[in-house]
Amino acid sequence: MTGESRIRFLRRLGLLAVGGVYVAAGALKVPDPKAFAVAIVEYRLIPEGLVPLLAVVLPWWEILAGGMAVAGVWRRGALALLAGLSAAFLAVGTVTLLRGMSPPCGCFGIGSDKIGPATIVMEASLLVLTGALLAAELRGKPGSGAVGSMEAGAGGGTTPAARG
Amino acid sequence: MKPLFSEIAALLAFASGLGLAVNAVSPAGIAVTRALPITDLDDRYITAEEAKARFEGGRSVFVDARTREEFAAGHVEGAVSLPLEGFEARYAEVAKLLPREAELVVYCRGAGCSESRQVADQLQRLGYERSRIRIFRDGYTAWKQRGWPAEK
Repeated sequence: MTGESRIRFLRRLGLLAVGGVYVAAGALKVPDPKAFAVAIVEYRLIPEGLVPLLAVVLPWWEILAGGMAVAGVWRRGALALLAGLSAAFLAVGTVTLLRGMSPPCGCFGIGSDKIGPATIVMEASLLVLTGALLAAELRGKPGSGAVGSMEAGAGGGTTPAARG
Repeated sequence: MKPLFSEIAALLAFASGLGLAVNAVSPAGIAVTRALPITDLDDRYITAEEAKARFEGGRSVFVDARTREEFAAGHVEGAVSLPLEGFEARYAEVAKLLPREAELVVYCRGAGCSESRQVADQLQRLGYERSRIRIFRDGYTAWKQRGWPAEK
């Protein structure tokens, strides 16, 4: 395996990991928006009027952005959104811990572990990985198309707009 | 940069629309245009007055999910200490005091704590019926403020 193909392989792996984690996280929240809303309320950071709306739309941001990052559709936008979500989750988790609270994370729907150092490490790792993948996309090196079908990768644009 | 922001905006709009559409047709859907009190979001939550009524009814067992130190400093009269930390070991000690046919009222410090819900979730995992578990949201702070029966 050459250096370039090794990098490409690692990128595919990274995209599958990040996309997979977010698709799973979103999909586990969708069936029970009430439970997710309760999890958001317990962070006591979001105005209560916004909680139900966020509980309904946020899981779909995760599912779509995760799925599109893997599929190679609007990959830059998808990775940028995932990086933003990772940064927001990391900030919320850190602030919550600093306030001496440890509510259930809510990261993967009902039954998620409570917020703790492990959650922070997980969110930070996701942010670093997503940030690295986004940086590679923005440099224009990586390929387009679905993870399974990524080949030479010239051009880097993943959308008609980016290509044009 | 412009295409990037366009992609993000389009993705957010499309995903939000999809989420709202699914929510509108889902049996588990919730109202998104107004704030929902936690008692509407989780039917296990009860108010201080409802907790008091259950206390006076004498058929409910109060479960204190705070730390042992907090429990020792004062708790609802007759409550069983079952802190979230070390839950399983402590549950083994107090299981006989928590009959499955009884209604359990779980509380912690007050509206700012979440241990009561987490202990309630753990009890459900152990097989206690959801309909027999209540979470006293305002917790011991509200109980003490009202001068209701407490002990050390």
